[in-house]
Amino acid sequence: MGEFISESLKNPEYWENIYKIITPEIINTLYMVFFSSLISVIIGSVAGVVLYITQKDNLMPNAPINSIMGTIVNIGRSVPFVILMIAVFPLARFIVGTSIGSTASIVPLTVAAIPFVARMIESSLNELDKGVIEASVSMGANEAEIITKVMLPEAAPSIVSSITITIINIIGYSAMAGTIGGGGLGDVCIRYGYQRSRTDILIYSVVIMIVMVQIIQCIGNFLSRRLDKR
Amino acid sequence: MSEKAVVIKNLYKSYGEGANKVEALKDINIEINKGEIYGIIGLSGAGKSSLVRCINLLEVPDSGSVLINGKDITKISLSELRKERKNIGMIFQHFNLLMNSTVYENIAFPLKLVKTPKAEIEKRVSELLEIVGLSDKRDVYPAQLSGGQKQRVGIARAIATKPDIIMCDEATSALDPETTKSILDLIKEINRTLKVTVIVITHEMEVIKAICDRVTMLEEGRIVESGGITDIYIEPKTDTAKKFFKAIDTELDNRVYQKALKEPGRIIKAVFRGEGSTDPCISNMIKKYDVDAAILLGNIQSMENMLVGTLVLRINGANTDEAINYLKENDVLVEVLKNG
Repeated sequence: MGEFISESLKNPEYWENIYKIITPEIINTLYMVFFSSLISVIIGSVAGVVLYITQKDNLMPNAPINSIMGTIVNIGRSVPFVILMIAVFPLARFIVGTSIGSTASIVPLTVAAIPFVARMIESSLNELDKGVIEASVSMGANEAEIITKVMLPEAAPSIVSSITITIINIIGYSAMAGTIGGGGLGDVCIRYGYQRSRTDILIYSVVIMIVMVQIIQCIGNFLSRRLDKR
Repeated sequence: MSEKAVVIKNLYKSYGEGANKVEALKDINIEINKGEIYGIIGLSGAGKSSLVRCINLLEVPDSGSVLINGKDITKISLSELRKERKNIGMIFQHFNLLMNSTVYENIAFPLKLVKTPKAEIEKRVSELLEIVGLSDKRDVYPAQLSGGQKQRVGIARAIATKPDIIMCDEATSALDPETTKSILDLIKEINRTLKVTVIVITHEMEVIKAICDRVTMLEEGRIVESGGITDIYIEPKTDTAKKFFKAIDTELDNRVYQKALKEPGRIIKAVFRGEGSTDPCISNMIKKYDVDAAILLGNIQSMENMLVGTLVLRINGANTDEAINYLKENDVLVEVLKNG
């Protein structure tokens, strides 16, 4: 057995085969992760800012909006991803025309990530020193100016960390989406690693995911540190 | 000078509701002249911070009015209020700077809010950095500055848009005594050169003494005393005022006092004000009325606009009444602590 493995490792055809199987799925994974991160960060950030500023004693206190949004976010976060994926099949079909493949997977990934991003952004903003906001109000800044020129830049290092965590979570979820025909490295793991007992391919896929997570974490840490002038 | 920068009328402010309702400010009436430095002093919880926040409506009063340059800002729209706020600079105890922005960006912030052209911002910020003495710190982040330097950035930011009024909310309370002095000097200089009205909120009598023309004392949300700083120092009408000055007035050493009580004669406290402080009236009194005077305590306070000397004396002799009258005639304030 060991001999067989070491023999095949030397075989260029073996590697060519692996390359053909894995490369398109790396691209699929990156594609899913990129777009679902992008969309969920945009929508989730807006939701997070709304959650923050509608808090009691904040910029625009509004208890009804705050509690309704809070509840929606909590519900979104408590539904297990596997269930959510299946539940949003109709939505995916409506938006992208199909419920299988990488493009279709972007829909459940985004839906699952939005409430997560919202809470992460909210908690990043919670760390802000209220004094700076008070100072801006005293200088006659309006709400939009306070949000874009004070809150977001001041919370930027923490927000970058939040986004990093979100992307890494989405990588994990994207693998799960792969298991029900979503494409990507998760799909490879299931089809080859599990169904065809190709442990080698399973290991390569996992290693590639580990590398992806490491790279994103490193970039995130670097950016966050660069932005933090405190 | 008679023009009013700020007039507060019958102002009330409370927090919470029902059983938890706290009345933070009760029937506040203050008039602040243009160009003066006005102090508001009180212990923590007296309502100073609430009061200063009612002046630019960071806190909305329950009732009463706040007139800025004659305009009642409790009756204007939010967008007008924002315009008014740009006319009132504010300096904070904890500086409240943008920590992720450079000194330059911090000072430019209020200028950007009023849509100042970029070239003009550049010029104005350089001027301001010059005024506060931080020209070499232009591109440094606040975290790299000392407390005093941070407050200088805060001051530059507060005066960037050339406001008529600046409010200092415990601006020196987080600073050491030496830095406090330099910041107070800077505030005073800005008051003089830019003719800006300054409102100083503090719990430290030293701050009031150093720069204020007039002062209001708050206790439990009420004004207990208002007036010229020397008047209040010399003749405090209320216990609160006395309490504040106690910290400054060196307390009469108890052993000296007990000993003096047993000795013959009267014990008086004599307060000398202003220019007259250099006249030799004690020695004249001794010669003229043939009394003995033992000094139990002496100190001199320098106020914003005059010197105030305090002496506690034990006077003994046949003509002590006349001697005390002589002091009174010479514009010395006399309080008899013990009748002989």
